[in-house]
Amino acid sequence: MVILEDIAVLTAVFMLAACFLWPQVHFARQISIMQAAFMAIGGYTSAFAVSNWHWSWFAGAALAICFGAVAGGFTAAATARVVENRYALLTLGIQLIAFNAILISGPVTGGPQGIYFLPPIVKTVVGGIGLAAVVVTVVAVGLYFLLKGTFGRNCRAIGDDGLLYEMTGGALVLMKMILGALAGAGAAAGGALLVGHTQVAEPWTFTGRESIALVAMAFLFPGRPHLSLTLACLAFAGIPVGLRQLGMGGLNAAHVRNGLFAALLILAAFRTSHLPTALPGALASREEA
Amino acid sequence: MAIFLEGAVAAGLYVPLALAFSFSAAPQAAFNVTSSSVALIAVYICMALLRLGSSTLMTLVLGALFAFLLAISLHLVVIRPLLRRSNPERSALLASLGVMALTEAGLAIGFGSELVTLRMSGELNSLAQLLNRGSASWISACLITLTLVGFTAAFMRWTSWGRFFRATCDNRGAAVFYRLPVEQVDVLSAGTAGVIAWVGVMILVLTQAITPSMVLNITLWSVTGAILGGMRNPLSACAGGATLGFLNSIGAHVLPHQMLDLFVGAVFVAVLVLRPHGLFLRGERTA
Repeated sequence: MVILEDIAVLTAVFMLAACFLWPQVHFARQISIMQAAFMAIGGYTSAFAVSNWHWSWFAGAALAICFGAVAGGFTAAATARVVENRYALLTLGIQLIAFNAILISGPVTGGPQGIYFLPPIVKTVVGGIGLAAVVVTVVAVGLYFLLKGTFGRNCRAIGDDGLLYEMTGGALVLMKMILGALAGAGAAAGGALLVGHTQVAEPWTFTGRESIALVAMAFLFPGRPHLSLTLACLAFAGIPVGLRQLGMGGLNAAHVRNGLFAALLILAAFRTSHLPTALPGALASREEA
Repeated sequence: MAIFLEGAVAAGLYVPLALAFSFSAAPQAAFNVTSSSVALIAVYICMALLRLGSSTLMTLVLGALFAFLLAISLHLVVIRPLLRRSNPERSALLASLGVMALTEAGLAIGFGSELVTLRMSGELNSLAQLLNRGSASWISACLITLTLVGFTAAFMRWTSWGRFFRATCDNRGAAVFYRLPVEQVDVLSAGTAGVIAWVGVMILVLTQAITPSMVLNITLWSVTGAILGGMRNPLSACAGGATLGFLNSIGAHVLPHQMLDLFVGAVFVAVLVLRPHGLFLRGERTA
């Protein structure tokens, strides 16, 4: 049952981070490789509020979500004019800055050791599984309805042609800011849930490799995010737990999982560019043929 | 004077990394960051060879050869098919990020946990002492930097492949139109980038311990140097790498040691937002 709780809660954590990244990647065309940094903001905020101010986890998580939304919205708005690929590298840089900032901010974050001995969110295993089930359901259903409504139509409009959207009176930067804020808030909620479940906030759980794996998930399923992302997150959470059950060391299990998702990202790169067009290289080879 | 000498030593690390990124990214007009992964794998292979008893010279030759062949293989298998498709810039970036994460995971599994620090092998001690001994450190750093810059300038100025390379960097579409050997230039530049990045990471491993997770940092350093100078032109990228080295040495005097990576990251973000085409180049290519 404890293993089931682990898998369920981790699935919910990665659902929160990946599902809210998906609209930003596909509609705002901003490949954000800093979801782990937002998760760190959420995790450390909730851990600090719980351990220093003796707040309940839920209050700490609410504050974490606010911080994540502000940070995500600000980053997306400030860099709204940066083109897609430069934005990806930019966020990778911010991810490394955030990681190093956590390491050197010892009095607040506990430095490399982190913040330990946090109280559990729920005391029973069934409660943990129930909480995870509620989160997964709310995220999947919420994302579905969010993208179905007016907001979803605006999202699709900026995804199709951002320039045209702006020329017809739409607020492109505002939309990018909202999508960035959603991604930041989702990841911060995920980070808070992760910290609450493991009862420890340490920097090594929020590195760039987690961000890259989340980008892989967002790119793997360009068409239907709801069910497929849930399954991907289940795999992402379940693989290391399963490998540990088979006797593999904890770190190696995580590396196998990360390697697998890195390979999937390479496949996703091929999948997202599946249409051969009359680009110079292809054109020349065809002419020569 | 001390800042200048330390900057020269730091430039010995940043110039090869920036040059390598520029060599692989400029002709393809894509953020291809596979060269740092190639370099790290080649350095780990070198360390494994040294542990198996291989001589230093043989290890260096085999390491360079391995880096060249691995870079070419990765280019042919992963990057080249993507360059022929729609939106090659995004696909190449995603694929090379995937290669980077795969490298980190593979090295951590193959060579032990990432927490196990890989230190320089005993056989490289003599070389490391030569690099680190007093004034020899900045002399060797300057020699490495000048050799790379001289090699690059001579290659681009006096060889026909160098002129093809320049033309491809300047305007890839026009280079294809005039039937220049663009794809061969890509292969050659990918292989060269692998070897140059290997030189940079070998310098790094001689001066400090490395771990598989450093592939992200190495990538950031190489991209920062190249972006700072302007990644379209390898010589500008060299200048960017040298500038980053000197900025780093100034930062080391002003900031605590733990904040240096943060400082490099801040420089990177600032340049990317404020002057994305680099300090020494004007305007973006529009073709």
